Amino acid sequence: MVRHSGNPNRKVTMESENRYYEPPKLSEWLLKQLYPDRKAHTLAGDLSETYQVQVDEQGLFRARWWYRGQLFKALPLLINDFIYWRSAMLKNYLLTALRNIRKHKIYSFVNISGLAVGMACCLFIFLWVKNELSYDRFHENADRIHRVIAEHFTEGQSYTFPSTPAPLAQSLMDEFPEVEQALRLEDYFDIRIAYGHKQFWGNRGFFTDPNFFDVFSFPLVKGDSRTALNSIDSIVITENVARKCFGDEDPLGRILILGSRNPKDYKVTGVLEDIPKNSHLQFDFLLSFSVIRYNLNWSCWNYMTYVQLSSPEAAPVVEAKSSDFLNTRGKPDHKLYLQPMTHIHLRSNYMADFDTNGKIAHVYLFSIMGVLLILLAGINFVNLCTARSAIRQKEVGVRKVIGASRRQLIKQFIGESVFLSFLAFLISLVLLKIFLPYFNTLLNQDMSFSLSEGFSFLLLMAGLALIVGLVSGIYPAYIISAFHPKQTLSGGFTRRGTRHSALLRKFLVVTQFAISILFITSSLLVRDQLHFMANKDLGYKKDHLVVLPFEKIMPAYRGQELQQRQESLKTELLQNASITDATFSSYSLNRPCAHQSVFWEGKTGEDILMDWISVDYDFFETMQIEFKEGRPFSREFPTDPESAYILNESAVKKTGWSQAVGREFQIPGPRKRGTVVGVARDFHYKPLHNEIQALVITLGRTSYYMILRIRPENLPSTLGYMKNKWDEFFPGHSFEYSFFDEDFERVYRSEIRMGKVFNMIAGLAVLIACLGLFGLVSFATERRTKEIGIRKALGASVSRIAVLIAKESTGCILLANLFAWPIAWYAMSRWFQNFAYRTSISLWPFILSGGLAILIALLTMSFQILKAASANPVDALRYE
Amino acid sequence: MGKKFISRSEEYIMLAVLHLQDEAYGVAIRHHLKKITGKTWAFGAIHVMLTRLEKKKLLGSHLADPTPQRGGRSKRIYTITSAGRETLEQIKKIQDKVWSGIPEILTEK
Repeated sequence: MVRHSGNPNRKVTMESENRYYEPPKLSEWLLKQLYPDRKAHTLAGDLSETYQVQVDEQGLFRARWWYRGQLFKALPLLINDFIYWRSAMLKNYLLTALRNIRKHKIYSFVNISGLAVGMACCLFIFLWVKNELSYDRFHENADRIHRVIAEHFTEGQSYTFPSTPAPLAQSLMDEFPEVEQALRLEDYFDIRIAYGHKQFWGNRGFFTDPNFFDVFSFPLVKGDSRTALNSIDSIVITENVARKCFGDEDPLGRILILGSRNPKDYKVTGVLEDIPKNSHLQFDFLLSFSVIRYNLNWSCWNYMTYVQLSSPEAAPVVEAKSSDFLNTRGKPDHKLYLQPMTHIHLRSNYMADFDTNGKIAHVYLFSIMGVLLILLAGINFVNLCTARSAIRQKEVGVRKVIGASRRQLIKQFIGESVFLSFLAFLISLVLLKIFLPYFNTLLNQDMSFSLSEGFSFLLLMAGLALIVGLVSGIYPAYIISAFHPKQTLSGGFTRRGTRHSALLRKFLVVTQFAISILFITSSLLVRDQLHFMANKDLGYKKDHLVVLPFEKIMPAYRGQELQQRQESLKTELLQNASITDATFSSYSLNRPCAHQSVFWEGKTGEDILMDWISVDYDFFETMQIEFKEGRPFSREFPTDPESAYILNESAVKKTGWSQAVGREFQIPGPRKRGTVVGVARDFHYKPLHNEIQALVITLGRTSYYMILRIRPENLPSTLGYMKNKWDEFFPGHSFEYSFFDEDFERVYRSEIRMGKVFNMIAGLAVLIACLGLFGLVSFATERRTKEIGIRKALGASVSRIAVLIAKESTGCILLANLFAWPIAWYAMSRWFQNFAYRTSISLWPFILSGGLAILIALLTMSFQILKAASANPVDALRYE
Repeated sequence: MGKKFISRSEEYIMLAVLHLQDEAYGVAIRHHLKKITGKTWAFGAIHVMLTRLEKKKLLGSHLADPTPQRGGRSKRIYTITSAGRETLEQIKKIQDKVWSGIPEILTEK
């Protein structure tokens, strides 16, 4: 019979009774993965049986390859089958998931919307952080470009600043083999650009060296980057400027006029692509250095120097040699640091740096907040899923009886939560699209999000959704799949599972509220500090001060003429009864002031730098700054413009004088030797981040600003009057003004912005936590319907039942406070250290936030509680 | 006409199952097919088809005792169902009609 000879079994058993050859492990494993459980067994069995014969006949090696070959040949069919089976089950799972969403509308809504809001927030934060971290990375050699930072040691203190002397760049290139390229930049801002009859104000540019484009990768749309900056009368402009000036004409070779006092012609030799927002260098045009005085002086530290190193590791080598190098240039007590360019935006903390810089601390802060928010939303998810698991016990029981394995159930439930999280993800994308413009305004950013922008970005976000789905699905999945079908189907709830998960739910609610309270407390404390800064006694009265800037006008008039016009304007303005005082000043709150070394009577030891501002007569009267001793500048003393000095209290402290008036003082160089005529009380001439330093005030005629004190009444007519007079004296120049207190607030905009974001996130955190609580309480009351019914039937009052339900959650929130307070205290005291002047951390924000959390939670629960407590017990008990 | 069409290979497999009777499991089926058709059949292909036929209820199956050569795994013995028999009978009928007269023509040449 064919049957007998066709049975290879016999042969094997005869030849090698006890031998069993192990088939290739990986192949066996793969087979198991691809094939439905039962069948894989059979197939593997068949294969292994034949494999034994193959080994005997052809040797181990060939047999192994035969085995793999068999598997490989079967792959297309196996995969086909695999997909078929999975999709059949998937259809069933999906259907169950959808039915569940529809059946429990409130839970589903709470679940999905909470997660969606959390994810949208996280996406916002991610976008922002990505944007912040992307600064300057677009340069081809970004990791090798460094900015030179100078450190200056004096009287045991060190000052670091990003400005360096002009000859440094060339010397570095000549003497350090590690330095491949070096170039200088000098700021040239508020510049008028004119072309024909068109003119544009407020442009900003840099003077730089011709190798600018060798170092930085700003692409040119037109022109040749190698030669664009070679000539002293060439200018490279951005596309934006080109569009404004020339419209559709070809800009190359055309002549632009720059500046207004000494206008100069420049020939356009290149057009840059608009500068990306994520570059720390922001400019409208570039000029070649040779134009302005080529300063070979090693004492004028006015230029920024950028170097391109041969490798990023070369930076410490250059730094180590820098001290000796500067010594040979007659600059002892100095040292150079090389700051990686990619650190400039977030990690600079130097005097006189770019005002557009961000803070790495904020990046960390926001990242942490993003993670906390997603955690919050994820917790919601887990909470509601485990709570709902009880409801689905029957489904699980039935599935188990029919033959679902635990692994299948876990897969089903994890799959379901992944499905929900993806749903939330899609909603969050829509939310992102809608709210991005608001977010941009809030953070003063220009971020964009489009699906086409980056596939990888989207993939990453989908990955996030997957992880959230997985992580928040795993726990409920394990709990649910552990139910024993006998118990679940007979109607009783499995005790172990529910008690276990009830404890977990409580723990999660505590965590959630701890995070919310953390946010609320922090935002209250930020508010406190902002309030403190707005109301701090600055040493002068900042209300009702109007500032008129003259920076733009200065180039248009000769020095003498400008002064006369300013003077007449002042006289005219003072005619108005609503304008009480007027003065000129070289200083404004958000501009860095000059540092000067000074001389005083009895000075010994090392050089000391003091801040220096020059003001007009009436400055102290207008600002209402008080004097400790002496007098303000006065026209009655003809020597005042030449030789009078006024110090602040801190400066007097430095000199060690017990009494200052009448002592000799000098700012060597620009000023003559003179005497101190008065000591002003310390006033805040810098933002409150900084301590009040030693300050010298002299009478001066460089008047960048006119400061006026006005009466608060009739503001429009007063401003109208000012505009009329302005037009009279400065025809053709637009009238610009600002209020001093608004300028003052602008300095704190990063803090104010942070405060706003904090409020927003705190609000969202509370919202998400409340959604979770709402879902939980409504679930809990539903589960306890019978209990409540019995209690009521036995005579419990509505209020007693309300207390019964509320007690549990309130306890959780009180506990959450205990966790949140120390963390909030620690985090916020760190933040407060940014400010030299700060309010003390008081107790009330903590208590308030705790109370607020409980109140909000009670309000959230109240609807459910009242519904449950006031229900007719008959309805409750009848439900079986 | 029967509702369930089956492919040629499936037909071979069903016939093999019928032929092998109580010994119709993967290895034996493959061996038989090789003898009949002269070609080596991949195990994966055979199994996918067996599974498919089982799903179409043309074949039934049960497990036999495990053997050491199979790494302790059971054999799955396939048997033909009554629906399977009907289908084969139908195929045979159609086959006869299709081939009627053809051998004569073939041998003429």
